[in-house]
Amino acid sequence: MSRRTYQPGRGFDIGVTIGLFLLSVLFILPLYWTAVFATRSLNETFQFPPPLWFGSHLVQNYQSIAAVFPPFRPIINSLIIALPKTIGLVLVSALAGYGFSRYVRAPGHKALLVVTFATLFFPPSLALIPFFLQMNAIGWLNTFWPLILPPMASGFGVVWMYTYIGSTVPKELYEAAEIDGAGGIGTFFHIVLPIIRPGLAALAVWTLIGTWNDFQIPLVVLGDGSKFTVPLALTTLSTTHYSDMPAVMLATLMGLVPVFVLFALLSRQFIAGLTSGSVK
Amino acid sequence: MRKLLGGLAALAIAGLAALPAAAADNSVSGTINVLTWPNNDRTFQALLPAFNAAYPNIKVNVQGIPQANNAYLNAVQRAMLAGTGTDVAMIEIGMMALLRDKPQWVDLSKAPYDAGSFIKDFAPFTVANVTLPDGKIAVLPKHTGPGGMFYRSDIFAEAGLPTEPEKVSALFSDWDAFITEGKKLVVPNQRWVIGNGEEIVRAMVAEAGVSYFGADGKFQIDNPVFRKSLEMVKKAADAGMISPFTAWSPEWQGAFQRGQIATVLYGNWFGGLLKRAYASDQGGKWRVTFAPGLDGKHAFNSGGDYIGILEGSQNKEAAWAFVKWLVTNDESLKQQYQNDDLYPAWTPAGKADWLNFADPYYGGENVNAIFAPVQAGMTPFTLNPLDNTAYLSMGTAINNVARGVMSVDDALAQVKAEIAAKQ
Amino acid sequence: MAAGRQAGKLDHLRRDRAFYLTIAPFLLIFVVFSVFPVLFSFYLGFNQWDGFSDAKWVGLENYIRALRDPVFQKAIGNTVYLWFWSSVVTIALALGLAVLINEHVAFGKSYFRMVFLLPLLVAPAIAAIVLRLFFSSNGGLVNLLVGAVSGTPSYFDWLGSEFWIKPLVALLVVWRWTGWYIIIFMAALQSIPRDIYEAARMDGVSRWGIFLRITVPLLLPAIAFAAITATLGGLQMFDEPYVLTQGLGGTNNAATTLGMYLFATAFTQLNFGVGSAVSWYIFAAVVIMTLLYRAGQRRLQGASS
Repeated sequence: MSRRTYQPGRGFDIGVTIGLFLLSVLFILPLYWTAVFATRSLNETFQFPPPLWFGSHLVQNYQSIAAVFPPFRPIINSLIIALPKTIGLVLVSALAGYGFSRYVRAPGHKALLVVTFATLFFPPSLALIPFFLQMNAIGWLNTFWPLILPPMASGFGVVWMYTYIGSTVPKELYEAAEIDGAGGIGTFFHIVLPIIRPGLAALAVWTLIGTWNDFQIPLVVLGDGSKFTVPLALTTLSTTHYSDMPAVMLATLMGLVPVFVLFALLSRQFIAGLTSGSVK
Repeated sequence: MRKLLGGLAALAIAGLAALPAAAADNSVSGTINVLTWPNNDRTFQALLPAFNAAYPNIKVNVQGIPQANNAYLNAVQRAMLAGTGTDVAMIEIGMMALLRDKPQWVDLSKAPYDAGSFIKDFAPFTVANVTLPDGKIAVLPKHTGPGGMFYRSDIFAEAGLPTEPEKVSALFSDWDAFITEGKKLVVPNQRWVIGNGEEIVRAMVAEAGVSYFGADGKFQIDNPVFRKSLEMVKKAADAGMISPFTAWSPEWQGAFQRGQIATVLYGNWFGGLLKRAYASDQGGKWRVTFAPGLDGKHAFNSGGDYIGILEGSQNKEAAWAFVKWLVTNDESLKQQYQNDDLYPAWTPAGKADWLNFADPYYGGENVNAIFAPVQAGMTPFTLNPLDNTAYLSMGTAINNVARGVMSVDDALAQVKAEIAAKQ
Repeated sequence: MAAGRQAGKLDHLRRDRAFYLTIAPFLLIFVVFSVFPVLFSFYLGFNQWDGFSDAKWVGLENYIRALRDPVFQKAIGNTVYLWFWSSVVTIALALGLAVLINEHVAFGKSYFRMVFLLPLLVAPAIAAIVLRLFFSSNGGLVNLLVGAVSGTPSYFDWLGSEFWIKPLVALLVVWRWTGWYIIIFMAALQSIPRDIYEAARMDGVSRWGIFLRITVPLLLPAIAFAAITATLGGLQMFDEPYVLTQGLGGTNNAATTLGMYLFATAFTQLNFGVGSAVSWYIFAAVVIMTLLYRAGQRRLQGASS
């Protein structure tokens, strides 16, 4: 079983690896350029041709950022929002997705599932003003709550988990659990949850990224500069008619670090989930 | 003894002279939140010491939200809808039509504000903008954008054109001359005369004293000046005078750095951008003169801002103290001019020496000799909530004509159709 | 026998209760925070409202007004174009890359999995700025290349071109989203048992044959999911065209999508009535597309079995 007759394909594989590597470089080239600009002065970004290598303006750009807002506050704010929201969203979605997937015969199942699907079809910016009015009425404006709790009910998350659980967890497992006397919720936490880790990880990654870059809703909800998330804080780096582009680039990079870290951590979990020997 | 008395008297007189001209007002107190966009937020922060010298018991929190992506407009909207959290807000001229009619602005003509008593000291066309038909003064004018033609005198010299502002203005006296003389500055694929056709259109339409919408709300696109200005754009484009760069794009901004654009037709604040961002190392090369005229009129306005108090404010007195100080106080207007090149709507400031000086960036020229007459010569214009839509639609038309994609007739027809769909 | 039936009934009740328990958290939050905005926006579609003054009932006028607007009509075409091309290229590219990474890289699998996702981590606004650097009319890399090849300096305004702006928006979407679909496909690929591949290889099936006749059919559910997700995103596309055209929709509205039109109507012109109406148009379009997908899926499944 361990002796793999791979020799004929080996050359192909190496070719593929090199090709993919070059493609990946092309993909990250814009990010590289962001880093280059973060070390340049505003004048230099207007140059012809634009600089391709790192410059020496890193410290000055950092000072421009620091002068306008404490650089870590927005990152902390974004984290305070992103982490609870992601954990909550993933759990709520997985639970609901499991329920939809397993209990197909429960009354109201189809109707509720259709409604859940339907929520995916709404352009997000539409509900903005009514949502704002609602948050105003509750008194949640200028707090983090509107960004953490309401988004936990994500139609996309439920549909994603519903699809994933449906195609990953076999019905026999439920029957076995029932014979063992485990209740629905117990089965979810003890049996299903460990199996669906890759799906959870993917949804978590998706949610984290989306939350991190979310601009419109935080803008409408948060009025206080000290509560700004990273995208909001980045935009305050502009002046009346031009953007201090190098400073924005540097701040972007700084804002990306926690995301990269979280992403790397979750990736490991993702891989662990994949290689831990799945169902079959 | 007499010497001692004399000495004491001298001391007393000296002491009196050392007192500040205006005593600090301790009676007004409170905390206010002020909403504005960059770079004003930083300028306001810098102004706070001066403000607090006059009003020691007022605490001001400044919140800056950028204009890009409607962020500022939405922030003002949020403040107005929420009814709390913001006491004072600035509005840019482009937002005026959309926002000034709303009930959320405090009527400044009423007591205790009585803005009506000094409103006439602001530039007349701004007074028309802030006064509603029923007499309500919704906001106070703060700054205007008197327009002129900025030009690179060294490039003009290179092309054999005169360089002094008076001579250039005499040569570029009207728009046909702008084309004939401007052509000489063109170096194909290297240098253009103007960044975008909209500069021509904005200036011409304003010089004609025409607004996009009449007082009755009707779209005035059939007014001959619109066609005339588009035809002028076509002539300029055919002569290779218009740059291929989209206005306000990074490539357009970089074009000044590289000397690819010879003239600019914008408000006085554009000079601030040249000095601070686009052409900071080109001091001494730029000058300002009057824009080419239409029927002898050279005045056009681009830009301007206003500031008002929101009804939900819990500290209207403190808010008023700040607003009034901001738009009339000499130190305030001076810093705003020096930091951001904002031109005061407050006419008494027109004589200040921080406004009338030989600016080394402009080779020693006193550019207020251009801007002051322009401000005085501005015709009041009518604001309409669909103004921005009309500008955008017209902008598309201008670009289509400039790129030779559409004829003037078709472009105008398209603008007409797009606005008709919204009315 | 009777005891068995009674036990069955109890089981049913227990199962039903479990169902409601599992979906309760989701439903609760959803009803409280999402139903109201949706209903309110439906109501708004029949009103004229600027966000401050009182709403005025206008019936179907907003819907008709939108249809008559040439910009709206253009937005429909733009949206279809962008949705179609960005979805097709992204999914095809992601599928190919996922298979290559999963099956055929010699080493560094985890690197490849991560690296294509990086563009998505960057906010759309920054991604657009960087793409503009490539395609800038004044010294952008692409123009430099064109200039070098043709001999005369090129200032072609790619982003200002009516024709090129749409492909560029699609490019931005592909660049950002391919990595995400790679993850979806790789997760699905993991669930394909290895023995099928071993058997095929022993039978001497070529790599391309394995891909076409084994991998793709087995991945159809994932591809369908990807197609639906891409459609939902594509029909509502807003971020990418917005940032690439700085909110203006490109020359002559060549890249204005329905989502952008909605945003401009509601938040720039402060016309929430028409904005709501447009969003319901988008909703209708998405529903129609989904129904078409389901019909197509059923047809495919019927054919393959």
